[in-house]
Amino acid sequence: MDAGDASALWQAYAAELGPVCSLLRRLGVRDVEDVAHDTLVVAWQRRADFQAGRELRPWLMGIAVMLSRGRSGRAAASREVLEPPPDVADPSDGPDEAMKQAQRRRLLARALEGLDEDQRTAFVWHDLEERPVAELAAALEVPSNTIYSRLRLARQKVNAAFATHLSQELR
Amino acid sequence: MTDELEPLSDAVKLALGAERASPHLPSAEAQARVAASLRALAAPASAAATAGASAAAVKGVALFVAGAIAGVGSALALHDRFFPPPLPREVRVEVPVRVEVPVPVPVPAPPAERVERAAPSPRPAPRVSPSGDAPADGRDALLRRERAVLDTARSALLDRRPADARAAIARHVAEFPHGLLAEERDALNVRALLLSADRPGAEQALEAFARAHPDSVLLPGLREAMAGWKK
Repeated sequence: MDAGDASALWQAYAAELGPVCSLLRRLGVRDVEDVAHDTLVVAWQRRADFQAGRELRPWLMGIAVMLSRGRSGRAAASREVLEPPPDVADPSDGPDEAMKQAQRRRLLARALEGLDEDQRTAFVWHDLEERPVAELAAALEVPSNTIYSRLRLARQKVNAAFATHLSQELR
Repeated sequence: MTDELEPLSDAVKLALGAERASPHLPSAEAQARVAASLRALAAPASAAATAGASAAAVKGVALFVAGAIAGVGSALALHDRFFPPPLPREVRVEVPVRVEVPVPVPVPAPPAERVERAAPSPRPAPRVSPSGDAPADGRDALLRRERAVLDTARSALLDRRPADARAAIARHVAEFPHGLLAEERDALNVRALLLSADRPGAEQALEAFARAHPDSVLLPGLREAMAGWKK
């Protein structure tokens, strides 16, 4: 690898910091940026395992999921999700719409807190990040059916959490 | 199996959309730290390829990486999975381990003024331990200490405490003048001076940074910060 190749390659890894951070925040990881940093360092060290021609992001996300295990904190997770980053708000949104969006994210944060780590990972991976179940199964080295089972339970809980909230609002 | 999944309610779908529209934007400090770490890891890779793999055979790469991921805590249980011994030869020979300061000399932090005017330290060429068998604990501890000092500086900047940031930067200069994270430290110094409203000092530090690290990925961000401050 010459210097130019190495430079282009590590910059490609560094460019994935944002998506990796987003995933980790949604997983409820306490030290998002620290774990994201470690994810990219580990990935760089393991780049020989990366299969050329495949997407870099899901591979990095799989490593991020593995490193996130046991590092979620409910309080930290809800705090992260509760605070909408002001610099990504669509300026065309009025204040009402912005409030609604923030409220939806708060609800989602609460619903995610009701999931255990496995369920949350499956839900975030499949329903939030919109990645195939098979990718997560491969990353965690478990059968796809196991992920589907976790996802099924997670969906039930999340739907129920939202239904409960809506019914309380109508009272 | 997918057929058995309960469909998501409309309310949940709206919430998922709201969350997707709010990506996490990493802080400038996080970007700098990632860039510095990857760059440091990549630089020896190309050097090793040029010089020939055998010349750069180094022990303890896994330990170096373990230092980089210090703080992973319980996730270290996964260490064996990510770093099964022995590491692939390609990886083992690509990352020279810096052992220049196994025992950093404790030096009192210099006055802030001295740090402000100090020229950034160009990163020295990565060096390989002659024996490659320096104590692993020393290497681990060194990287961890460097990172801890800069984390202090970074936190102070985020809290808008430039004096504290500069004190931490001064400590890093004193303890790790040619540390692995010297580039990141010099970038933080520019930002600390900016936050102190020390425009001449910041400009001088930025110029010195540009000379010392002309290809740094941190340079555009620093220039942007300087331009924004001038407005």
